[in-house]
Amino acid sequence: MLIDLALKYIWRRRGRALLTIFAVAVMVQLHILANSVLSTYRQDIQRQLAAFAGKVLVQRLPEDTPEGAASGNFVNAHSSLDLATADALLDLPGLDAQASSAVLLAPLARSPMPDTTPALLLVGITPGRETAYLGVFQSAAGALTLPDAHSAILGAGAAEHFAAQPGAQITLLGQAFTVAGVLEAAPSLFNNAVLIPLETAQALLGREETVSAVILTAAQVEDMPGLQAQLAAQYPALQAATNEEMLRSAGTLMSQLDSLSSAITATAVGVGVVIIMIVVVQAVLEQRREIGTLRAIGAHHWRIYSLVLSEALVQSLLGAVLALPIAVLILRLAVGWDKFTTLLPTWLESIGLAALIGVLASLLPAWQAVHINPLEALRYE
Amino acid sequence: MNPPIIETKDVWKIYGSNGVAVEAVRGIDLAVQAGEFCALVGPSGSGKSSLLHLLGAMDTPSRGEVIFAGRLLAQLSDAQRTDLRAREIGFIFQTFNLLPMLTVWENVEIALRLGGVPLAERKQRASALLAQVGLQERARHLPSSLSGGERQRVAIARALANRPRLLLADEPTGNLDSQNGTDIMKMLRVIAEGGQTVVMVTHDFRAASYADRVILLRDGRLRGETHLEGAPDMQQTVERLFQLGL
Repeated sequence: MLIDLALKYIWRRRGRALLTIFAVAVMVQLHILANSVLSTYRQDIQRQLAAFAGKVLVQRLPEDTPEGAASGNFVNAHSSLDLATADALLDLPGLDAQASSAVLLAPLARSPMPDTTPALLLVGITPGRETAYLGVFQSAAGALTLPDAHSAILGAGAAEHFAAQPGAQITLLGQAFTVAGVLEAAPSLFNNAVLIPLETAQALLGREETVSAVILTAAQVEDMPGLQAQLAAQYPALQAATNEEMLRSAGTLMSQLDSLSSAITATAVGVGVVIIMIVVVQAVLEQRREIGTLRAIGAHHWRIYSLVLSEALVQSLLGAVLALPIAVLILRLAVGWDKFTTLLPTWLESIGLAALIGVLASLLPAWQAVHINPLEALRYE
Repeated sequence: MNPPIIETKDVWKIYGSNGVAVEAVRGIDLAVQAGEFCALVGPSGSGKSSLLHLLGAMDTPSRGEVIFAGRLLAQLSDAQRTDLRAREIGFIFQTFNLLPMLTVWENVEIALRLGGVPLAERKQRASALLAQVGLQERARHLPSSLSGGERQRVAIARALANRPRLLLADEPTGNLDSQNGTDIMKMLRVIAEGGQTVVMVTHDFRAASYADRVILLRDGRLRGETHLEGAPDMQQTVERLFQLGL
């Protein structure tokens, strides 16, 4: 191998090499950012849907709501059920009453990403039935019940937002609430939630006669199909979704996310390959005489190829190394994201991607280099 | 008599350019014995360098045969010819052709690396070769900081690195002043007296006078040859070459 010689050649053109490394880093960080954010989003959706297992979400969406939105998007600001319908739904036989409740949902702060769980989500719920929403998630501090009309349960993210612990006072839409408990870390739908009593939420939002949805939990898992059939027969105008249906619907969204992720990765690889190829082709032209000399004194084709490959690989791998801090910086500055450990798997994958970029980018210049006639070295200047 | 180390039989080299064929080498028969110091002289365009490239397995003849140590070069693959250049043939160029990014020591070491010499041995041999050409003090210097004579000495150390059976030198004094040229020729003479076969292309009669045999080429053909005896004598060399029809 002639890697020492390759490193010296890179050092000789260090200005150009730095620009190349930076350009590759920008391409690779694009892959890291897109894939990490999409992967986090994907995991969040999956965990939310898993947490919703055994439940049915009943909503009434406007007629112009696109197909699939009813089940694919848990929080739908446009859903509205009158109280009479909600009460009738909660009176259906075979329900676990403690785990079923009407809910009123309202975003308090938008998410930086479109069509995702709000950064802060107000959840009005019947006191004593908090598990209808919180499901299997446990308390990190305090109690997960609402003792009075002005008490609140905070998700871990919401608690961080308000910098509040049990007993602390927070203000929501101009009204003071006392924090009763804080939820353990959970998917964003729970992490970002602020649970308050349903009636208080209705008064606060001026929606005394309506709720957003009803969450129904079957007393026995085997009762679920019967419950769904009953809902379909008695309430054909309502959208009832189980987590299986939501998973199916989310599958379409996830497949779109995968396509987007693949397109971004392909673009990053393509642009990275072109950038490095241009630089290495130029380098081979400049090193023509030296490569000719090496051939003349007995360097085999594979050694020349290894020289060119090393030049391309070193630059692409250094670009991948630099990509991580760039991605961290962009995420922190742009959206204040601090889940940097989630970047690591994608970053490690990017190292492999950078190696692929290096290998692909070296093919053309290496072909040119190995075909340099050793007699080139004997041409006098 | 031992078989020659390198031999050509009716070898031709014809270059084609824009439909015009240029016969650089025309039917040369040549045999160089092991341990011989042979100089190829002739005016520009006489085919000296083309013949040297054929002898060094860097080019292939259009017709005829080049035989190195009993092996027909035309029958060797590109990889085998590369191996030959790495291990059995050393090259010295007029413009030195050192790798400018490598130090003096590294320029010698890389030839050993290409010759497949293990690392520990490379370190020892590279240093010994630099001592042989009197450049051990300059081992860590880059070629750009050396004089022309010093660079050519590094090139000689590199060419000798793998103890080649044949040393080819193309105008080794062409870019050197008179004193450095003389030093390099003395060095080549010592190498030849040590049993190394040397074939040198030159148009410098002073350089040619250091050889055992001087071969005159003109218009791609071998016009004659003369054997020199005794100490290098440029006057004697020129007279002999004129007798050959220079």
